[in-house]
Amino acid sequence: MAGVVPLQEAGRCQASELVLSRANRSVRLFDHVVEQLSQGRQPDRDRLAATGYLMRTTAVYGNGKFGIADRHRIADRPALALPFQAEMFTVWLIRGFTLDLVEHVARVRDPERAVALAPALRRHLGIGNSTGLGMAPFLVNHPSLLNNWMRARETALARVRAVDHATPDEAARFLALLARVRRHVGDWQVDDVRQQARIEILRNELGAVADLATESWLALPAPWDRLIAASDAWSEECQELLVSLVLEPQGARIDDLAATMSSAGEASLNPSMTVDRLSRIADAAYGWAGSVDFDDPAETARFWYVSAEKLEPRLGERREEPGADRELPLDIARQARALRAALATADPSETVAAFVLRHPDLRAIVRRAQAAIDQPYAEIRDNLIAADCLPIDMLRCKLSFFGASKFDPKSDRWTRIVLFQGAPGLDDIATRDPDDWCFPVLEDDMDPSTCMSP
Amino acid sequence: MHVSLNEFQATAAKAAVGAGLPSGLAASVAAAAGWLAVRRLPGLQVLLAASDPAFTDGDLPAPAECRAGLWVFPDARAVVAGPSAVDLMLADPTVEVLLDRLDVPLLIVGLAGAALAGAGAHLQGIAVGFEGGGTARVSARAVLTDRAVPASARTLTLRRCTLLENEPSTGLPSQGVEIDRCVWQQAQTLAARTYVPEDPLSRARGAGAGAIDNE
Repeated sequence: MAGVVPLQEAGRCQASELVLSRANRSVRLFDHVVEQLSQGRQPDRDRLAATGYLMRTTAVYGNGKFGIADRHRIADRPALALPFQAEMFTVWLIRGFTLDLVEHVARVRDPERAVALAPALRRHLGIGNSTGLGMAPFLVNHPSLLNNWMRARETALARVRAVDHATPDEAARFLALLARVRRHVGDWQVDDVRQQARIEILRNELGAVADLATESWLALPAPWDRLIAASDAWSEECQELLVSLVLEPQGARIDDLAATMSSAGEASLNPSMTVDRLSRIADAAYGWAGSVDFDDPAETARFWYVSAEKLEPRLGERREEPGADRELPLDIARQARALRAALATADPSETVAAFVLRHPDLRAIVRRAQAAIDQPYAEIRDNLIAADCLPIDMLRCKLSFFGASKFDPKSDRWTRIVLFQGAPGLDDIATRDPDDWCFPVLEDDMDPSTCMSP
Repeated sequence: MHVSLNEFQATAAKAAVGAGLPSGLAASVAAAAGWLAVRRLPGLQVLLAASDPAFTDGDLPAPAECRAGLWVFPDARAVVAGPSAVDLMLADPTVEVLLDRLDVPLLIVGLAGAALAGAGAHLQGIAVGFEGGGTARVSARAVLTDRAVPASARTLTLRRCTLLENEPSTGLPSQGVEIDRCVWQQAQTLAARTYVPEDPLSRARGAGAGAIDNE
């Protein structure tokens, strides 16, 4: 591994290895923390809170990449059966490593004066992540997995909204969490003007939530349903945050849904289905695509491709850059429209086998449409090649399922986030509540006595 | 060299697209190549052989006609006609298919096996008859042949068959496959036809990221 891993994409790993990841230091914060610890001082609270991590993963590879183990090799292990468990466990381990590393470097710099990070600061340092366009094609290419994730979320929300009365404990837990999240959002600062404006609105709206959702209001029937219904008046940032807030205290009601979030793979073509049946499915699944006017150049302004140098997805301007002849088939809305047009003139009684024989270019979208029968959340209902498509929204969607926080967009197509901030670490995983660390806040009154020598 | 199954499938699919196939057909032939490879048959080699020369729009769709329950594919190229031939078999158990002057017969075996596996049809099979004698019986799990599959330029017939519950299964590798390094390189070269060269401008615009990530 020592010889292969530094080669990154050029290296070949072995099937006994599960995950390959790389990370970069957040140089300014890492150096500051080393400097302070080596001088016997704790790092500056505000600088630490502003960044939130010492290192950022820039890639976390699993499922056979570069020769490592295929997912099916570990999928039957209970601890790793859910999607991305091995990858997220690796990220958590890297977080622990970065904390040990910064203390080690400080000790080497000045063995006599160096101190360890205060436990509160240590907990508040998560692991950063930079995520680019690669996640967007992943969502399009794994519709079954996307469906299962979304279905679990929607089912969880439906269960909680159906609760007749909140117990006093549940209401108290929600109110405590609401207070915490308001402080958490208060610490959330980004350079992106559009996102910062959303955060400002969110802060105000959370105040309105607190005014509305009092202890007496929550004691009335169907509190969570009423709260979610009321959130229609607020921004999408606030709506989504409230979903997390009402779900978080309800583990006993919803945690079993985690087991439904994996996927055995994408469905195969069903060649015996009739064209009539396929037409009705396609109309139901892709009716939304019918409103896209593909004669408007803006609706086909972009194309997705894989760069030859980095082998990563990119987004190009169709009429300004070469490469559209090698476009990735992420234009699901356009394909769906072509499918519905071809189906409209086909014999309703013929089989899908005969239909795709005449239309081999529609084979992929036929398979997707057939899978949509019982997968209502499988498709991103947007035209992904339109001039106004924002890939960053897809990245954020996927990252949210990993528990990402402090969303920090750097453009419309890549973002930084923080993972595991506030989570138990290598040193206290056995002694702290592993389920109560979301929306962490760095306490202002951190006790200096918690600073220990290593 | 050793490659994971996921690498194999991804590279095979990209190679097929690089050869000019639409993504749906490419996915089917990549699955076929993978089905063969994990059974220690030369899946990637047959995909490469079947992808040469590259395809143009004129190759699609595969010409075919149905005569009294017999679908005939004249001058059949396996990667174009094969997926539909197997589709027709699975759609109607009474149908028979004739692939005339087929270029790469073994790929049809892979297509049949992968399609049966994908459909979860574990007690059904497809019998592949070779011109001049010889039969391969393909199930979701294995292929049983009474002689070596002819390499090229043969006429094949396909019909449905029933399998026994105790049909023997090939011992499958649990992790990855061994691939000849030259074959792998050929596949990657073909896959590279799908990539777009970048320059600093396209990297900045296309990825949206800065040049460094450690500030």
